[in-house]
Amino acid sequence: MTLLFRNNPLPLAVLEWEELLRAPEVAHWLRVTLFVVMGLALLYAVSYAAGRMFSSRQTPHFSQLMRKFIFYVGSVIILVSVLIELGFDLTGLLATAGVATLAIGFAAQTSLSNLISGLFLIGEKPFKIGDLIRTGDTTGFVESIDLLSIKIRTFENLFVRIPNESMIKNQVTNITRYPIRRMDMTIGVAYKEDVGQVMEILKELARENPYALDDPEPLILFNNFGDSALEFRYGLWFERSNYLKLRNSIMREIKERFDSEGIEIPFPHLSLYTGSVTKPFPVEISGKTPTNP
Amino acid sequence: MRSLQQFWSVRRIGEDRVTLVRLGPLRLWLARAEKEWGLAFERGEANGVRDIAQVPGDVVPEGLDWSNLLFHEAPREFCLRPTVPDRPVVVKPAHPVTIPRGESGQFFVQVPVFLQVMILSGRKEVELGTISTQTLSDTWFGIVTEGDLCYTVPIPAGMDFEELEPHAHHIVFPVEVENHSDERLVVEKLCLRTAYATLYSGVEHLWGSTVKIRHEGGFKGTTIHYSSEVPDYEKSLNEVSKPLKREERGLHRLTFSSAFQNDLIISK
Repeated sequence: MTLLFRNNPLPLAVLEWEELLRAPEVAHWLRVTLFVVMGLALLYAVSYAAGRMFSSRQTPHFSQLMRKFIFYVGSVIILVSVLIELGFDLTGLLATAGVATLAIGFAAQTSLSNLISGLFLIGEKPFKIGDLIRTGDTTGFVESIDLLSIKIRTFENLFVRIPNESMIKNQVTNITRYPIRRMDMTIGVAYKEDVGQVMEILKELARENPYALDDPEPLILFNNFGDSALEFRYGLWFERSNYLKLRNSIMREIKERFDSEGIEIPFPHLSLYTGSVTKPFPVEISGKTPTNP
Repeated sequence: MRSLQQFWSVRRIGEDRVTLVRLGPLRLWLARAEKEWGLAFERGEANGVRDIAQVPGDVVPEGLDWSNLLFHEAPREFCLRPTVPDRPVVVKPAHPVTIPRGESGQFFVQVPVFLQVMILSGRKEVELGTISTQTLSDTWFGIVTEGDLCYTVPIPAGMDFEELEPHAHHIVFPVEVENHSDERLVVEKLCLRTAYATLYSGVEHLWGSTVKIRHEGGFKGTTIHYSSEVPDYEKSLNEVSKPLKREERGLHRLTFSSAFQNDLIISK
């Protein structure tokens, strides 16, 4: 060991490492590794910081998209840098990029359409994450708004992916956009009932129900002489999260109150006549249950 | 009926005992076991009732929804604390009231009190629950796209305290409105943000901070101030609850208005 250190202060193992590092290929690969590791770490940090910054000033989906955008652009920059470091000539690559873009453009027409639609959705902001929306036959809560599609969780706990293009083309209803909503019902009572009394009862029920807002006032409209009933339109305003509570309670209360007041909620009636408008078709009720022979 | 101030004092419940608190329409059941406290409630029609009593366990109605708190060893003491509704309240006078320019008017608003049940363990306080003494109906103050979810005060605001006869479960808020604008002021509806109010207990009634409303009109708008002075409508009032929120300048711009109907509640 003493002989070993006489002419050179460094141990043999260290000398071998130094020589190894001086080799151009190794240094080359080290730089590439450093690019990738440092680049990715920096990219994660920057996209995270951008996400934090945007989340405090913008909607959640905007900050989510900005994070993804920064990450993908940064990834491309790292990839190009690594390729240059590895000695690839990108001039040829760029020359073929135009042709490739054309080919990819044709192949990814739908995706590009979705991507552009996604950008429109972000700009227009018709809904945000957590909103309850209805589009076509699907109703559910918005889980995420991505560049290509939005994801919805339905009431049945189903995951639905809807392409952004479809969201732009079709009608979308944002159910929870405004803090209060009106629930409209059609209520029918028998023709013999007192219209004024029915309207007064409906007004009282709205006043007594804790979930029905007093202001804006409920809509009580004698709407139609129906086939079998006098039809009223009953519109109650409520805070958007109280829909089920209001619906359940008011329906029960209407039934109970009408029953106690002797107000008939009719089922469809049909009168049969035998050629004359004045004489109804004779029906005889025997009072006995028919028995099978 | 005993003094209202005694109602807020600290009480004890023995193990496996039940206490019934009655305040207005509220019937509140408190039960203590070796390691837990339980709370259940129901509401009736009574208004003038105010008492607390230990009752046998077999008088507790069946079918109540109990909410329980578990302890290593259940403390023996509890107290009831009056508090304001968890949302602003909207109240109307019996009829729209006109205040000419340069004049002022006074209203008394009766708001059902909320009861906060606190379990006391030495210096530590644990909330068992907060219950409204009366079921309050929702209402909206603002326009359909923006505003506040509030409770409706079921009793119209009165102008003469002697005629009010507030019930045991009501907090009385004196409201003073001054019209400094150039036009008459018609008050149809008021929104009170009671979270900014201090509560005081007298022998007979619960009182809230005096609400002072100064209407300047035009661009100056209306300023609202929840006074820290003790109301002087009843002698020897004790402070029983501090404001839940600190008053902020310019917060109460909408106090009179309900823009949904596209008209101001103040009409000129």
